[in-house]
Amino acid sequence: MGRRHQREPAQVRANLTPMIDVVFLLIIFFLLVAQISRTRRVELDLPEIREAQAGEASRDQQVIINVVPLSQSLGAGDSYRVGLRSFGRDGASLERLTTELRRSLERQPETSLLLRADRTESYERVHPAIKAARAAGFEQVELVTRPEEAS
Amino acid sequence: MSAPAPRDDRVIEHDPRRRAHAQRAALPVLNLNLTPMIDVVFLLMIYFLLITQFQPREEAQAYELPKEGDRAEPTDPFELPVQPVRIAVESFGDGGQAYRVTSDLSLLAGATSARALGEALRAELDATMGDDQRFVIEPAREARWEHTLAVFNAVRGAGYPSIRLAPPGEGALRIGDTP
Repeated sequence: MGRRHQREPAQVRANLTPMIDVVFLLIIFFLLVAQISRTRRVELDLPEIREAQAGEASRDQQVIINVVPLSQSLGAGDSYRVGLRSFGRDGASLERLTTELRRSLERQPETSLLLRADRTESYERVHPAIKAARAAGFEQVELVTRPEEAS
Repeated sequence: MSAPAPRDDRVIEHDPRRRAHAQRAALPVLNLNLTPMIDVVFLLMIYFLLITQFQPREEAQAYELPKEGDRAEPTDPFELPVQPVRIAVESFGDGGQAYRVTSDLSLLAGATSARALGEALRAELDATMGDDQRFVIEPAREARWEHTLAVFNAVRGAGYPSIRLAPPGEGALRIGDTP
């Protein structure tokens, strides 16, 4: 057995399996990082509009204001969420919300603003967010809806 | 525990089928190593699970915010020729599921739902109103966002892009008012 091994040249064979394993793990790693860094969305039952004059929500650079439903709200200071930050409904909190929006608009002037609110939300709770967007200098706010399901 | 019965080689020799089996077993066995394949398959599965979008698709309606200082006052006497049409939205009933639309425009008196409003407005386009006609939607404080958006969409769908959402409770227009 030993003599035979000496006579034949050593065969170089690359075992591809561990390499593929590692490459896939890297892909998953980057996908997860991208998923986590994406702006968090609040679970909402969005309004479903018949014959909507709506387009696909712009995806590239966006700031999302979520109007937190009372059932999911963590307290009085958690009525609106932008990313991971919460804002209440009182004047000072809305001022902070305006400042936050203005700052993201200054950082990236192409930013589009999305407003997500539950379909059962009262207008009284949605409107301060629109007001803050206007005060922050946004020209347009995208009101997020759910496309009508084909029935 | 009883010891296993000793193998009787003589029996194998006499049975041709068992003899063939014994010869095959003596050859080097080709077996596929499944473990790396399962590894890769699981990785692929995780990969596809991750890239799948489980969230329902979302659409957006663009709402042009009125400029600061450009307050379209519905009661401004100097803007009589282009006085905006005011549309009130109110939700009522059990849990606010029903809603009613009222307008100060007598042409729209019969339209009480977003759909009827849209149809009525579409009929009036280029007849009594141009597409530059301004609209002010005045939802009540408790008006559902869903209903507000339905009215907003109906007006825009009828071909009038100039719409403003008034602050809640600003409108003096109420159900029962004569238009």
